[in-house]
Amino acid sequence: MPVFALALLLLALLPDVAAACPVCFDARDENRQAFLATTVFLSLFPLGMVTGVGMWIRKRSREIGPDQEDGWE
Amino acid sequence: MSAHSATANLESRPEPVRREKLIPNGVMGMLMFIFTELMFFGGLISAHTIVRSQVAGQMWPPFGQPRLPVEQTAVNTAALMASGFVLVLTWFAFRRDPDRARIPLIISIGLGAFFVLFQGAEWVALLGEGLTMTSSTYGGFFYLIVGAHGLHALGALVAMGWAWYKLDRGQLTGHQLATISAFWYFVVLVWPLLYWRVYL
Repeated sequence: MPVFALALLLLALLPDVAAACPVCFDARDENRQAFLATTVFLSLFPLGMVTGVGMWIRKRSREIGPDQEDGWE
Repeated sequence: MSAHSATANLESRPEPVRREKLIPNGVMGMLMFIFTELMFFGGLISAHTIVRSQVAGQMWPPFGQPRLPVEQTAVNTAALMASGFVLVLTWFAFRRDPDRARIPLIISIGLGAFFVLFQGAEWVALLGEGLTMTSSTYGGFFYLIVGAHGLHALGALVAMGWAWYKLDRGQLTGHQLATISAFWYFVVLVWPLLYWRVYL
């Protein structure tokens, strides 16, 4: 328990702003919003595509039984 | 275990069931290619959004650069959308009777060719007005994004022309049509996003 409390305390006190990308900052609000929006877009887009295809394959797998035609021909 | 009992064991096993493919190889390969292309266009659009947000005073197009033909391109966009819709009809016609798919496929190709030719005419006019790759980041992004899409459209049209050639000889398979259609649907469906971000 003391270890857990210490870990929480460190997590609360130690983190600081990390200027990891020197170009991803601009005083203008429009520019910051554009960076945020495109980061979210490019992060979630591939995940969404892979999830979408996975769900489609699962649906197709349930639709066609082992002895049925696949419907492509 | 004797050879006789091993053979008997094999014979008592149930026959393996041959399951049809969930996705044809061609369609799967095309989907993987389309994913990479979507990320390519996603990257271009993201870069365009960032650069546009950095323009002082939000003046877009920048001073001295011509305005893009929004209205004319909207008509061209409608032609491309119609081409995609007719290709869906082509698929259903092909499922009923391949011979009945000839006319919708050639209409779809014609509408797609109209789109590419109209884009070419638009480029000639814009070059005449002074918008070039090097005239500004506005021009650079326009030719890069719209040009990349145009090249994809051209490639897809060549593939559809090949599909029509095979269909005319009764050699086109459903897998081939599905693979080529997937690419054309990508070209059609990505365009409204590009139009919204680049033209509007």
